[in-house]
Amino acid sequence: MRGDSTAWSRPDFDDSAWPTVALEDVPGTGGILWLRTRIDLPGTTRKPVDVFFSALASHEIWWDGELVGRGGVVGSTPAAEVPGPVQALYAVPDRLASPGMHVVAVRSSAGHRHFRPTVGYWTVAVGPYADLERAARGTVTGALMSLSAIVLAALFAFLTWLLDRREKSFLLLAILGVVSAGLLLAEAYRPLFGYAYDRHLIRLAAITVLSWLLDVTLVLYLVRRFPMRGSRWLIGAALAGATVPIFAVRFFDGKVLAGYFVVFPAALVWTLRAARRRLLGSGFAAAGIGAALAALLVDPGDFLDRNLFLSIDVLLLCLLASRALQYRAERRQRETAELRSARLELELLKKRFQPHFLMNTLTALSEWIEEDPAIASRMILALSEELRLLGTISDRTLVRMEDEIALCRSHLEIMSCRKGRRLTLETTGLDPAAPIPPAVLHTLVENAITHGASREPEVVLRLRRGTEPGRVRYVFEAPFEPGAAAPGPPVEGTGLRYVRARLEESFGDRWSLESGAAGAVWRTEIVVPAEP
Amino acid sequence: MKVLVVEDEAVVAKRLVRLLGRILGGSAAIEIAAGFADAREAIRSRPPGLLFLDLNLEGQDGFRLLEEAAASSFPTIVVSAHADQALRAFEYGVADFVAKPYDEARLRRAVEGLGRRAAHRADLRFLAVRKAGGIDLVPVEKVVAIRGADDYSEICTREGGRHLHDKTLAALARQLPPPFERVHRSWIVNLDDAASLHARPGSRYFLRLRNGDEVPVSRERVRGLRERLL
Repeated sequence: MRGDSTAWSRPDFDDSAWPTVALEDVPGTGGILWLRTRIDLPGTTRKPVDVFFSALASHEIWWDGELVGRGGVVGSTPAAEVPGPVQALYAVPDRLASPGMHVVAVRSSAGHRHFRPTVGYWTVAVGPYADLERAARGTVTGALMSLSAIVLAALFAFLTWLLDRREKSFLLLAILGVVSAGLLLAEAYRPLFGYAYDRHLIRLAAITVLSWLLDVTLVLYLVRRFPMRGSRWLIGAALAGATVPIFAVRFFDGKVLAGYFVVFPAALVWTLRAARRRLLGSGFAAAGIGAALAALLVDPGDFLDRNLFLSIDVLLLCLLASRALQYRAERRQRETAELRSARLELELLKKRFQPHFLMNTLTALSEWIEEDPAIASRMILALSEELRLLGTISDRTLVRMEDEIALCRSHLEIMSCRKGRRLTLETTGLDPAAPIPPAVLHTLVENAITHGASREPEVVLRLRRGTEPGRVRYVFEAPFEPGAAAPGPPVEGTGLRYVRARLEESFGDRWSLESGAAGAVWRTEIVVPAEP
Repeated sequence: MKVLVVEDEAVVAKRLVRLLGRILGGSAAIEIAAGFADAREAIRSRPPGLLFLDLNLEGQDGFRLLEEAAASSFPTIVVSAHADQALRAFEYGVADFVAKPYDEARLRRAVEGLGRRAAHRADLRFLAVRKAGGIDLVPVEKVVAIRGADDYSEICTREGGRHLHDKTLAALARQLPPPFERVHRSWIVNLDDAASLHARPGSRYFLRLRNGDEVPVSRERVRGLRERLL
C-alpha cells in the first residue's frame, strides 16, 4: 500500500482492503510503500529467529508492530531517502518470536534504483538465524575456492607468456583467467560484502561487461589454440552472440545467459572439429567446454549464482591440461628432431672417412703417382676440395646450391680418376643461392655411379630445376646399365634413407621424392617448398 | 699362372694387374672381372690358379664371393679397403688380406707367402664346401680328420658327416691351425681327437681316434707325433 502510517505495522490492523501481490510483482519506485505479510512460526523453530530481507529498496522491518531493523533511511522523496543495503539479516527479539501467527510489515522506498528492474528482487524470509545466514552466504565459499584456483591458473599462464612471448595463447589464457576471476568476484560481491542498493546497477553492468569479455576471450583463445579454417565465422558469431543480447534483452541475467547460450555451443563445435582433426589437446578442451555447457543447460536459472564458478574451474583446468599435452608432444618432437639432426650430422661426417671411398681413392692415387703424376695432382686437388666441403657443410641443415654442386663435381672428378672414365654433371636452371640439405645431391650422385651405373667411357649426369607455384622440382637423371646389374639401382638403400631424413628435417612434410627407371636413365625427382 | 682379379674400379684393377705382371713375370695370364655376376661365372667355369678379391663389390655382399672362393681349389688373397673385415676373411681361410692402399712390396709378400703355411691359420673357423644348391660352412672344431684324394679332400666330422672339398690336402694343411697335423701323405688329423698310437707288424703305424676310426701314420712322422701325444 502506498502511503505512510506506523499503524500499518500493527498486527491488529485490518488490511483486508489492501491489494494482494506476489513478491515478484511488487511495484517499483514512487514514494513510500508498505507491505504486510503473516507468518506462522512453528514451536520447534530454533532461536534466535531472524528476518532475511533482500530488495532494491531502503527499508524498515516491523514485527508485530515493533521495529526490528532498518536499512538506510526510508524517505518519500529521493532527496529524503538514504539508500539501504541490498540484503540484510535482522534479529527478532526472543520475546517477540513466540510460536504462532505474526505479522511482518515492511516500510520501504526505492528512489535510487537508477534503472527499471524487470523483476523486483524482493525476498523476505523468516527463520532461525543459522539457516538464513548459511543460505545467504551459501554460494560464497564455492566461489572463493574457485577464485583462488582461477587466479593461480591465470598467474601461471601469465608467467609462461612472460617467459616466452611467442606463446600468445598463454596471454589469452591469462586474460581469460583474469576475466573469470573478475566475474566471480562480481557475482560473489553481493553475498560477500553487501552494498547500498543504489550501487546495484554498477555491479550488474560489471557482470555484463565481464561476461562479454569471457565470451570473446574464450573464442579468441580457442581460435588461436586450435587454428582451423572458418575462424572468422566463429569470432563473428561469438561477437554477435555476446553483444546482441546486451541490447536486445532487458533482463540483466538474460543478457549474460543469452551470450553463453550462443558462445558455449559454438566453442564446443569448434573444439569437437579440432578433436576430429586430432589436434592435440582438443579432447580436453572439448570436455571442459562440454561440462560448462551441460551445467548451463541443466539449470540456466541457477547457473550464474552457482555452477558458473565450477564450470570456469573445470574449463580452465581442461585448457591447461590440453596445453600440457601439447607441451609434452612438442618437447618429444624437439628431442626427436635434435637426435635425428645429430645422427644425420654424424652420418655426413662418416662419409668423409668412409674406408671404401677413401682407401680406393688412395689406391687409385698411388697408381696415378706411379703412372701419370699430372692426373694424381688433379685427384689430390679434387679430394682435398671434397673433404673440405664436406667438413664445412656437415654441421648445417641447409646449404647453398652452388656449394652442393661443387661437392658433387669434386666427387665426380675423383671417381673419374678412379674409374678411368669421364663422369660429369650437367645442370640446367639452378639458382646458386637456393637452399638444399647438405649432401643430398651428393648422395644421389654417389648412388648413380655405384649402383648399376652405365659403363660407357663417358657418362653425363643431369640435374635440372623446374619451378612451380610455391615449389621447386629438382629432376636428377643418371644413365644406367639395364640388365648389367641384375637387381638394378636399389629402391631404398642407406643413401636414399639419408636423403629422405634430410628432407624431412628441413621441410617437415612439405617435400616429395620419387625414384625410378625412365628408359635408359634412372630418374630421381625431389620437390621442395620454394621457401624453407 | 692363371690369375683372376675381381675389382670393379678400372684404375684400381689396372694397378693390381700392372703390379702382378711385374711380380709374376710374363708367364701370368691375368683376367679381370668387374662385377659380381662376372666374377662368379669366372670362378665356376674358368677356375684360376690364384684369386685376388675386392670384398666390396658394387654394394653387393662380397662375402658371398668369398664363400664361393673358399670352397674352391685355388688360394684367395683378399684386397680390400675395409681393413676391419680382415678377421672375417681369415675365418674363411683366405691366404692373405691386403689392405688398400698397398705397394708392390706388400703384394709381392702376399704372392710369395702362398706356398707357406698361412700366417693367420689360428683365425680359421670354417671350411667352405660345395653342396647341391649352395655352399656349406663346416666349423673347423667339428672336423676330426681329412683324407686326401687326387685333387680333392674328404672331410670327416665328429657327427660322422663326410664332405668333399675342392682343395688338395696340401692346400688345406697350409690353412689349418694346430692341433691339425699332417700324419700321412693322405691324412690330416685333429690331434684333439686322437686316442692312441699303435704299431703293427712290418713297422706300420696307425692312430686310433676317439670315434673308433683308425688312420695310418707315416714312418717318418711317428717320432714327432709320439712326442706330441705324450
